Amino acid sequence: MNPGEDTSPDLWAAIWRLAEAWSQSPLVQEIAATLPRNQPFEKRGDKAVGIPALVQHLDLHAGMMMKPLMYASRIPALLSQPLLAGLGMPAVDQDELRDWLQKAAKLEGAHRVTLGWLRASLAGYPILRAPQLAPSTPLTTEEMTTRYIWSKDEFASGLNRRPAPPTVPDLLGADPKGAVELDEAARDVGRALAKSRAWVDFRGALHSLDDDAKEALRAARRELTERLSAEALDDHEPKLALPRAEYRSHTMTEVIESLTGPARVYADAFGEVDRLLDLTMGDIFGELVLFGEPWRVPVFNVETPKPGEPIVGFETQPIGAFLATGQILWLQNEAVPDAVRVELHSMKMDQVEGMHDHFEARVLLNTGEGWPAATIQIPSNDDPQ
Amino acid sequence: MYELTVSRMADRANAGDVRIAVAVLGVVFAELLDEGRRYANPLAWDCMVAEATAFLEERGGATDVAAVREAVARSGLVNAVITGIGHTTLRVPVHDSFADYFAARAHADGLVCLPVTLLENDENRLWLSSQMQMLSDSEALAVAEQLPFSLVRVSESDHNPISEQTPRMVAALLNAVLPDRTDVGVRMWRTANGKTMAQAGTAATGWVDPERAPSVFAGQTVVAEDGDGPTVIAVRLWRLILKHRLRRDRRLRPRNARSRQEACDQLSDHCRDVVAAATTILTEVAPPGAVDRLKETVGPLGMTGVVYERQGREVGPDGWPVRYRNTEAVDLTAAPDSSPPPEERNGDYSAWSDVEARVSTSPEATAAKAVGEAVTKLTRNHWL
Repeated sequence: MNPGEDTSPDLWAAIWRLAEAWSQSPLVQEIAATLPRNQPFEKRGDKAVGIPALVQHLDLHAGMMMKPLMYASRIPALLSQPLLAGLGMPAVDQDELRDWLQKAAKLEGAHRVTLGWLRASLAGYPILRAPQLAPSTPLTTEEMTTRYIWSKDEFASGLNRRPAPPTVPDLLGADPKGAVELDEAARDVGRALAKSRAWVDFRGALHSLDDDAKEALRAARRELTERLSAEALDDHEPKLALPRAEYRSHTMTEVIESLTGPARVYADAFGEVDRLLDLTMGDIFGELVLFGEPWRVPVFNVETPKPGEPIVGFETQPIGAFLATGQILWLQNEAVPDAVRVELHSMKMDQVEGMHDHFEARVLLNTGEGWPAATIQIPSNDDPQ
Repeated sequence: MYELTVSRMADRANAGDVRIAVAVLGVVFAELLDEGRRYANPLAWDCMVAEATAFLEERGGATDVAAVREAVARSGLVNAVITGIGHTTLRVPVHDSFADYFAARAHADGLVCLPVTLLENDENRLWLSSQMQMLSDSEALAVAEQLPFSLVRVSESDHNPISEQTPRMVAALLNAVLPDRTDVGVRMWRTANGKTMAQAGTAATGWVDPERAPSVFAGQTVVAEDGDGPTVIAVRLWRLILKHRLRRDRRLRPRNARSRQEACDQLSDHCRDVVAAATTILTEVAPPGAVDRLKETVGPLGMTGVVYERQGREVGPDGWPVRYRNTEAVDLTAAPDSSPPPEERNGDYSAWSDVEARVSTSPEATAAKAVGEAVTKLTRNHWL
């Protein structure tokens, strides 16, 4: 199954509601106001200064690591990279940066609690037998990863006994009315997730585990712990983050794929749960919270390049340069009624035809039904002026 | 550009009837190109001009041979070139590509047919001709079979109408350029607002009712833009299929090397796998009409060279440098001592790289990239 195929209109509607509640909080509004994509066009690019310039610079040079709900942990790590620092990092007042990072840390904290709370409704919680949760996998490492990690503290904090994600309203600075809405909207998402195929399949997989399967899962976890030990990683590559991340993810896949029977079904079901959460309540939720309603953009040469996957290719003119990887859009076309998330952007320079922006994007199935219709339309060149 | 140049040159030379001159030249050069030439000796030239004039006369094109010869001569569009051997003067166009232009013009005006067998030498006139006058279905099909890579540029000017026959035509074009044993099917349907959709897959070729249209994610699908003809649709589907087949899994790169010998072994293994992967990929993507041509364009992917001691670099991580040239065989050796690689590019090993940069991309992905770049070279910039 592909991530995004398991998404019901109800789940998308609940996520929209929760994102809206978050985006009305003082903390989110303050941070959103500093993000490059929320600046008017004339204040982007060379014209940007301060925090927006810094974020824009890091987006450009380390885009895949720059997820809006991870800024607080990512930006200090990226700033300490000597390779990045050499590339003309914009100067930012240190006090201003420290203050901003503290706010970003509250946002990231609130998101981690929310994710943790949603994960706590999984069958068997807090005892999850998934080998993916062994230390140092892409899902648990404190080093570079593109995933929203599952931390140990999360399991110890009794989140499954709380009626709503604790401390979130405080962290976001919500007023009492806002706090009620935050809690209710979170419960809405929880209910929709509990009905998702991923959640239901995971419960089924847990009930099918016999003693042998449980032992196989324990053994897989031990094997992963060993193969991803500090020594083993250093032996593969002592310094560079990318080969290390590659090694983690490759090793994890290899061990999971060596499982068979109910143990494999369980591990795969966990993988689906994680991917569903990562997409919906991680990346997409973060986009909605900080950037609001997706734009509707005119597109042409729409195509679907990968059979069986909800991926769409398209070209734009001339808005392309202002669209970012990770951004959610509505496509003005008839083939894809759902919103999409931009995953790949390539520019084609041609002396005859000029500049073309080509995109590949993941279709967020059922958002067309789950989300309110678009109101922000990017005009097309062809429109009468 | 050609049109403008021709009329300017003719104006300057005060040539009488450019139209006639161009028509005659078109017929003549089309005939020469059919023989793979863009020149003729004076005697043959005169004969051909006379024949072409007679041919045009039959079609009501008019005028006598002398006048035509005069018009051609004064237009300055054809030069007499004196070759070294025996001082023969040859008749050649001002530039080789003008021969293609004249021939294309004649074809577009319906004066001559495209040759039965299309060769690489015909690519330019095909492309020019397709810009002046769209190719017919059978001509497009001949291009797909014989000069498959030219189909991409030819398609750019295809605005033939979408008809009952279009799915069959698109499928025929696709099956001519794909190496598959089993034919690909093309299903087409129209959306409520009249957009045309086409999907490649295993289902039978034909139009389907919009209510029974497949999911757009079931197979490679394109939404035709207004004015796109069947060849455009076929070429867009072909591109998606090629891209899909050129997608290769990444595998884990080898651990960081500890010695010159280990680095050299890693690169040798990688290189042998690249060569093997390229062979597989070529059988999956090379159009039947251009297997050798694609292979030649890819070139040899083996490496002959020397791996040197790890060097620190100002930007980026340390690396094991390799000096090499591409060869059919893989023949890499570790340098005998730890001295740094030569600073100058010498004749034997003119290419520079380093082991990490090579082995960090999987052999399959490396081979796919090389084949993809060759396809781009043979079609057009940024096509894939």
